[in-house]
Amino acid sequence: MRASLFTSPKDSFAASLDARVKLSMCFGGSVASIILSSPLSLGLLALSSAALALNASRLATVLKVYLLASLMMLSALGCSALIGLAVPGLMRWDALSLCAPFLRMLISINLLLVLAMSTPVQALFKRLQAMRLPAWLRIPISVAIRFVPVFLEDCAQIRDAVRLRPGKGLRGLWRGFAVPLIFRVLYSADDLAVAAELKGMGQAERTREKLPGLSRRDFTTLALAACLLAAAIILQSQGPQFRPTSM
Amino acid sequence: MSEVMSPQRRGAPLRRVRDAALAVAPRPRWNTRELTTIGVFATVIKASAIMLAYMGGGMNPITLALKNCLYVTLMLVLLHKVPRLWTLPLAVGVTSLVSLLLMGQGILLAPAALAAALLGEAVIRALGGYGRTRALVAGILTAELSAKALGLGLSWLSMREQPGMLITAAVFICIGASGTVMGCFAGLRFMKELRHAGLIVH
Repeated sequence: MRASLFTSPKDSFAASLDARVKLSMCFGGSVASIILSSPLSLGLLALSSAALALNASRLATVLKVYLLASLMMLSALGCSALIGLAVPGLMRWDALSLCAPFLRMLISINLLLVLAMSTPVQALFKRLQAMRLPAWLRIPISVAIRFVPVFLEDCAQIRDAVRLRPGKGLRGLWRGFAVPLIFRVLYSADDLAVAAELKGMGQAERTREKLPGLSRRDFTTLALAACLLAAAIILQSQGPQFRPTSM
Repeated sequence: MSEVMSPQRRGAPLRRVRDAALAVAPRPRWNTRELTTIGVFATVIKASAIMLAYMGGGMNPITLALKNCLYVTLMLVLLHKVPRLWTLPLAVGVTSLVSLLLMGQGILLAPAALAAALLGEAVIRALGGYGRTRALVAGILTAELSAKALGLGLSWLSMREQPGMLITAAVFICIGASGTVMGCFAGLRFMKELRHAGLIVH
């Protein structure tokens, strides 16, 4: 199975890290980027996360994502500038106000790239299984991850049927595609449920894979991430202060 | 159940019988069929959002509204298919987790969506439980609109230095909310089709 809907895994430093470490970094980085506001602190986190993102995925992929995000941010900034013409107090043109939101978005994008591009879905699924999650959480997640190819195949079959007998307009789309697709999904859910019951999923505890511990590389990465976070906090409190200037 | 079978209730309308049947003592455990259905719908919701984005050439206002419409429609079908307590928070939690793992959704949006789903669950329980379509529609609307409000709050946290950009985010969230409202009507229409086909019995 592919690592995500967009890419395939490859051997790299980021790929060798445990999925739990990447999830922790993702969560910690997102929270830190919201708490911090100094461009220097955010810049430090953005640079270090960009290095990891470049390690996890190809340069072209990272650049494409950056380009898309920049377009989104620039269009938002353009709209804000237009609004600022009517209400001048809403738009600020100083370095702090322009940099901080961009840097926060950059940190989140980098960390999510690391998670999405270097973590095989099967690895995440194995970790979830080994973490002894309750059945009410484990079964839906495992079904959700494994059902993607089945659903795409169902869509292709219904699309072929629509091509054979095309409908017109919204009614055709509704009757020809949407309703049959949902019917098909409901039947597939029933089939899957019967199969899962026959295999004994959700019953008494069975022998499970033991959750492997973190490696030295994982601990080193976590320690490095903690040091970077501490440095960013020190920069925020002790470093040069940036204050927003009014227009 | 005795209330349903009693002679005094023989002439009760179908809806009251259905409500009484759904109000029997809640089962302590989820069964595999219910959990599988929740997992399948989580996939369908996310995969359809991606397909919509591809078809629309990215997330433009129309695909954004359609994505929300589809989400609410499918969630309404799911809540009718699995009418038991905590279905909404579990479905939202699984959907958020799948988004995070497969699509790289913002990691802080998942707790916000879960909190909103708990609020939606409270509304469903207050309005009579999972046996009433009206309660389900109100619950999903509450959950979705609260999630959008919380999302706007998170946007404010990350764009607090540039308040003008929050207005742009708010406009997009309003477009999404309009799709949510449209989804309620589409969901009700879907329910008619599914009841007609005998796939949903209440």
